[in-house]
Amino acid sequence: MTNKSAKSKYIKSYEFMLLCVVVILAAVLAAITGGKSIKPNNIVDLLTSYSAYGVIAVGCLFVIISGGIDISFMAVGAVAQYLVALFMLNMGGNFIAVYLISAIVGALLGFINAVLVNRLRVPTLIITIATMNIIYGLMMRLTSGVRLHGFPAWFAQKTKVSLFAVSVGTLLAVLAAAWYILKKTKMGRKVYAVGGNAEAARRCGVSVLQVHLFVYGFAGATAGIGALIKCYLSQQASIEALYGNEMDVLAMVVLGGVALSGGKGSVSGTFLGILLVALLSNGMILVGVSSYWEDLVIGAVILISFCVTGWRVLASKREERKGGAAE
Amino acid sequence: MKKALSLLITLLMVVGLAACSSSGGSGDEGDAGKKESGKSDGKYEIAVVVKVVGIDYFSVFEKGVEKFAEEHDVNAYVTGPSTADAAEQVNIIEDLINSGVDAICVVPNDATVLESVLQSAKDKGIVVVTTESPGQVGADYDVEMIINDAFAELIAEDAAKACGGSGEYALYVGSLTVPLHNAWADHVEEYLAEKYPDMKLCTDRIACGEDSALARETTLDLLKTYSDLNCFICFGSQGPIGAAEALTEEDMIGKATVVGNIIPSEGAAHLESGAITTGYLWNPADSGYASCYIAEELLKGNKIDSSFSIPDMGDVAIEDTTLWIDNPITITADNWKEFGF
Repeated sequence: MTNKSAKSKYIKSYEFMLLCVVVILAAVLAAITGGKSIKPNNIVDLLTSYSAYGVIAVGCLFVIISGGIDISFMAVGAVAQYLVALFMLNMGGNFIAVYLISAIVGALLGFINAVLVNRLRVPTLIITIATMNIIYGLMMRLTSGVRLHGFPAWFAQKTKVSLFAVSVGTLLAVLAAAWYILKKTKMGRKVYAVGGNAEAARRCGVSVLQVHLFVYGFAGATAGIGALIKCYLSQQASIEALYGNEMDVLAMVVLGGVALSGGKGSVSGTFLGILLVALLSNGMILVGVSSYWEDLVIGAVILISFCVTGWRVLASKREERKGGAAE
Repeated sequence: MKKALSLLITLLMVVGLAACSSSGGSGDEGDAGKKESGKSDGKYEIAVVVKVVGIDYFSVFEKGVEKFAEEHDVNAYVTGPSTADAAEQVNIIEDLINSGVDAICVVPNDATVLESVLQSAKDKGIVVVTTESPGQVGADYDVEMIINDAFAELIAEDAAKACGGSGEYALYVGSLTVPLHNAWADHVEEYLAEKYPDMKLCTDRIACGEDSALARETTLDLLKTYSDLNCFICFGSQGPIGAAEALTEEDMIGKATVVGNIIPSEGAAHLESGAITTGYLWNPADSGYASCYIAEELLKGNKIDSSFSIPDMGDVAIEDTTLWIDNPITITADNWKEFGF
């Protein structure tokens, strides 16, 4: 009985609507491209290309659930990417080391955001815009915008297996870890609690600072790892490699059904959001849409699919209310 | 307590910002001091303000300026901001005007921001020459190291030869609104349509030339979509890198041609592997040399007319105050080391 009601609840959920949108979109693209778009090699390519932003989006999800918004993640990622690149060029190292360094550098910068957010009590958007500019400004000054390249062979020589592991493998691992944290740990519950009502959570004995440190630290770490993936794919480190793509990542999370006011959002939704953005961008070229039309088409598809989703969710809520009144 | 802490953090941020800007200022004063000493020996003093100091491109640019100073016995030197910032260039140029240099050469970070300060230099009788900024307002002359149509034709011709003059090609630009890249792309399309009708543009030009990861992804998607695609013509220094990464991953080196703008050292690995066929740019050392050369001619009172030319740089085409010189470099696996940037 409970199982059944859980199922019917899922069918009415936003995630399910989003899943339908993704499936329909994939089917339409497959039909137009004669099946090219759903060939395994294209799906692997698509996931590979979007794994970096996907990983970063998961970190963003945590921040938004906790009731904040982070704009500085790309700048944080850029710092991690640059430091990791310098490390590889000067010391060599291995995959374990570069993963650790990028995650730790990202987390440390995230902690700075967390302390500022926690103590200053001004909108997180403003704080993270400020930290973004400070970080980019400092990086620009210190590096003069020079790009780094020519990494050691273990990093530079990509095989199909290593490509898959570094990109899609990392994305899946981060998604799994995020799902576990949000669903199964105390910290996960606290993140939702602070996002829902920070004051109430504080009065219940939740340390808001602790939650902020965790959330912004996690977002920083994912930004660092995402930047590392991007560095692996393009074999270059550059402070502007990630700059300007903040909106793409936020779009993934928001399309994934997170509430910008905090307290709501899921890993499965974000994964679908990532898929949707990836499918759309990949589909534009496969279908042969002119790049002059690309933004217009992407915007229109997103708008149409969410008008439908929003309408369905509203309708099912109304039904629920009616059902409740009848009982 | 909390209030005190937040106040402290705010203060720290403000002090940090102030420190950043003041350190930029003190650097400029140091440069201004240097000039006074060079003034006494009766040589022309030509100050060259680059976009940003400390990067390889402008180090090579500086070599051209030094070479000119040595050959022509003038006091020519390079200065510039430590970040590619037009406002800092304005400060530096104001200091140079006050210190009484004879000529100022500039590689503008922003053409419009510099207009008024260049005009005021000119009003004080200082010779002003810019480069990489065609039609610069406020300058006596601007000098360009490539002629756009000839540059596009050179790349298109080499690309067509490399891929056998048939098949499909893709065009990458930095963005659909960058005037220079799109002018080159327009001309490549025209040229290939006329001379190599068997080469077809697979889809409209794509804006991925300044993002190597995006260029990689785009290249993979295009290869899956267009089976005859065998040539990538890329404007923006990151396009060829991304396309070459994709070809390397797909084991397609040698099966498709990649040509376009590269910074020699950045493209080196791909040139050596053959993933990038050839790269095209201009030599920044020549830009530095030519800027100073024109400045000295003007200081000597010589007119710039149709007979004007710079040694070893070919003919000069004059269009209003812009001097076009057809002097591109072709970067290959064999010669990339020679350029030094």
